[in-house]
Amino acid sequence: MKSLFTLAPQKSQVLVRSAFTTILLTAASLVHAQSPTAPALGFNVFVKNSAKLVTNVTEGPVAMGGDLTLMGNYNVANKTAGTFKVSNVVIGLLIGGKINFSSGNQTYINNGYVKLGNGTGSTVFYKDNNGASSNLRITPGKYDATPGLHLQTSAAKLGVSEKVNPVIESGLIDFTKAFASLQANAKMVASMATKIELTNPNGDRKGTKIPDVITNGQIKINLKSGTNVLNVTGEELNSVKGNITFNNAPDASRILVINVNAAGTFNWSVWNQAGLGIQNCPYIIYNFYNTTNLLIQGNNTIEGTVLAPFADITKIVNQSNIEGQVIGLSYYQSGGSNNFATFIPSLGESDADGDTVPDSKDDYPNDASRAFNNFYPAKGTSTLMYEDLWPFKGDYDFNDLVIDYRYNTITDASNNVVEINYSFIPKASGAVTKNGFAFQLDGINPSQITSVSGSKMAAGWSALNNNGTEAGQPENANIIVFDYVNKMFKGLPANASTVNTFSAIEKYTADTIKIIVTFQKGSVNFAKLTSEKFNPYLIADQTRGREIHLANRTPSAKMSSAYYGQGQDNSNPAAGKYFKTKNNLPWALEISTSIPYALELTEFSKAYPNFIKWVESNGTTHADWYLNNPGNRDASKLYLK
Amino acid sequence: MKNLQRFLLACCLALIGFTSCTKQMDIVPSAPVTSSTGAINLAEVKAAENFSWSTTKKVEFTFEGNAMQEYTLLMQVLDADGNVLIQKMQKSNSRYNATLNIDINQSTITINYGADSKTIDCSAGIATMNLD
Repeated sequence: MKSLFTLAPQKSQVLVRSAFTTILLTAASLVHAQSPTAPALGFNVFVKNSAKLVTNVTEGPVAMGGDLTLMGNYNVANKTAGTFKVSNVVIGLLIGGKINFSSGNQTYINNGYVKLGNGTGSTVFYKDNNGASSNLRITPGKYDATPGLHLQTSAAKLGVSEKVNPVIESGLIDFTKAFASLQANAKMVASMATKIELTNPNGDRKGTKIPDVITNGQIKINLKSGTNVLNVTGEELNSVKGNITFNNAPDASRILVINVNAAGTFNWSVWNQAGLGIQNCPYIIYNFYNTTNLLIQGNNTIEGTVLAPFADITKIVNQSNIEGQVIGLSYYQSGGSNNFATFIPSLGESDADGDTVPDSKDDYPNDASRAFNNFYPAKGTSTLMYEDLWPFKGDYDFNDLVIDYRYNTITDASNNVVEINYSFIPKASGAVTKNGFAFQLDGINPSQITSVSGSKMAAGWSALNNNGTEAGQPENANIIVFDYVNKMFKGLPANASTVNTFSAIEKYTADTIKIIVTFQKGSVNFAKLTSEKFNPYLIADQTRGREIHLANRTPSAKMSSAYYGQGQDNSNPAAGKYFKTKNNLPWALEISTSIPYALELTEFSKAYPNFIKWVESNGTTHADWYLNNPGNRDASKLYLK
Repeated sequence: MKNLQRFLLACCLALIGFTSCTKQMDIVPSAPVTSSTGAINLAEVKAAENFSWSTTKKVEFTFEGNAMQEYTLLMQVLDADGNVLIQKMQKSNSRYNATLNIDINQSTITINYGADSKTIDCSAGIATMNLD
C-alpha cells in the first residue's frame, strides 16, 4: 500500500511550484520563498539516519530514515501527532529502519500511529495475548517484553490491521531527497545578508555583530518588522554567556534567523533567551549550515528550531528543552523535551526585478537584464605601453603610446554578458607619428554585438559597421578607441608632437574615453569572454594595416602581412608567434597596475632596474619589478609630472 | 613660462627629428634612426621563447559541484587582496570553468559561495573548488 503522502507531495509539489512560479512572474518580489523546514513535513524531530531517544519527551511527531534505538523511558507525540498521514491515518512515529531494543522500559506513542520500515527483531501486537482488542504494541518478542513501543490507541480505533495499513511498511518518506532539500535550504538561508540591529543591554551602543555590542556577556536585539538575519560564528554565539533580550519579541511579523558559521564539531553552550515563550518559537530558527557534529550543551532552553541538516546532533549534557523542530543527520537525546513549535515563516530575500538574484547581491536590483559588475583589473587600472616602430626596434622607452584602462563586464543572472564599459585614459604619446588605438575581442563575432558607442574617429581611414564595430572584420569584433591619440589631449597645439614624455614641457591631460559595447542577449557567456580575450593594439601612423600588439597576440583581419619578417620582427603566424624579435623581445607591455612610464629617450630598464633581471630569469625572480618597492624604480628616469 | 615651454617643446621636436623612436613609414618602412644614447641594454637581452612578458598570470578556475545538492547561490572569486574578480549565481550541482588573470605576485584566490568561503593556492595556475 502506498501512503497518501508519497502521492500527495508530488501533486502538492507541482501545485506549490506552480504557485511559486506564478508569484515570481507576477509579484517578482522574493527568491527561494519557502519555509526552510518544509521538507521535514511538519515533524517535530526529523532525522535522516538513526535516533537514540533516552529521555524525556517529544511533544510532536518523530521521523527518522534509519534505526530507532530504545534505551530509556520516552514519550512521543504526547501533544500532537502532526499532519503526516498514511491512508488517512496520522503517523506519530515513523521509523525508516528497524528498532534496536537496547535498554529501558517503554516508549509511549501518545497520539497517532507507527510506521516501521524494517520489522527485523520486532513483533507487532495488533491485539493482546488473549486476542482481544487492545492498544498496539511493538516489542522484541513477547507481549510484555521490554523495552517496547506502546501506542495509546488500538488497531480497531485506527482502522488498521496486519493486512490493512500495517505497521511494517517501508519507503514512505524519501529521506535522501528531503535532506538534500533541507541542506539546500540551509545553504540558501545562510547566504542571506545580515539584517539585524544589536545593542548592548542598555541600548546605547548599536551594531550588527555580537563583538561590537556585547557587554558583560549580554546583548539585546531590536527586532524590526520582517525577517531579521543575524550571521554569527559559533565562537560569537557562545560568547553570549548572559542573557539575550529583545525589544519586540519574535512573532509572525518579526522573524529571527540566526545563521551559525561553525564548521565541523561545535559545542553549543546555549544562551539564555530571556522573556521568550513557546508562542515566539515558530518564528526563530538556528541554522547550522556547515556544522557536522553539533553538541548541545549549557543549561538553557533553546527557543526556536534547530536546523542542522549536515550534523549529527547530541543532546545529553543540556537537560533543558528545545522549543522547536530538531532536524539533523542523527539525534541522540537524553534529557529535556522537544516541544512542538514548527518553524512557520517562508524565508526569502527581496528581488525587486525578479531576475532570481536577491537584491542584496544584485548590483542592478531594479534591472532584470543586469545583475553583476565584473571589473578588470579588479582594482585600479592597468597600463599599456607601446613602441611604435614595429617591425623595427625602437629606443625601448615604451612611451610611444601609454594608456591606462579598466573595464566592467556587466552580466545577467545567467552569466551572459550584457554590456562592457571600457575606460581608456591616454597618458602619453612619445611619438611624432599619428598613432591610433583599438582592441579586438578574440573569438567574438561582430554579429554578437548590438552596439558600440564612444569611439573617437576623425581621420576617416576606418569604416564602421552599423553596430559600431569596425567594418571588414569578418571573424573577430574590432573596436576603434581613437584614430589619432593627439586629438585626445585637451588643449594640445595642433602642431604638437610628443606629449607628456619630457618633464620640462607642459603636461596635457586627456579625458577618459568611454567605450560601451552591448551584446546580443544571451549570445556571449562570460566564461567565454574573460580578460584574456581583450586584445588591445596600436595602429601606427594612420596606417591601418600596421598593428602593434602585445607579444603573441593575434592581429586583426586588417593586418598587413607584408610587415612580418621585416626589420627585427620575427613573427611566424603559422606558429602563433607575433610581435617578437629574434630574441623574443616585444613591442608592447601590459602592466597589471598603473605605473609611471620612462622619460623620452630613456631605455625602459633604466627606469625599472629589475626589469631585465625579471626577463632573464624567465620570470622566476624580481616578479615585483614594476611595483613601487625599494630598488625597483629610478625616479629620475620616470615621467612623474 | 608658457613661452619657455613652447621653446623647449620646439627644441625637443627638433631633437626627436633625429632621435625619435618613431618614424614616418610607407607600406614597408626602412630602418629607423635609433637613439643617440648609444647601446640599448634591453635590446641585448634574450628572452626565453615561452616568456609571456605579462605581469599577470592565468589561473584555470573550476567549481566542481556536488550532484547530491541542488541550490543556487552567489559565487564570488576574489584575489588575494579581496577584490572581486568574477561573480555569478552558481548551481551547487553544476561545474563551472573560467580562466582568470591575476597579478603574478599573488598565489591564492578566495571563493565565496553563499556563506562558505575557501582560499585556494593557485601558484600552479590551477584552482579547483570542490563542493563537499
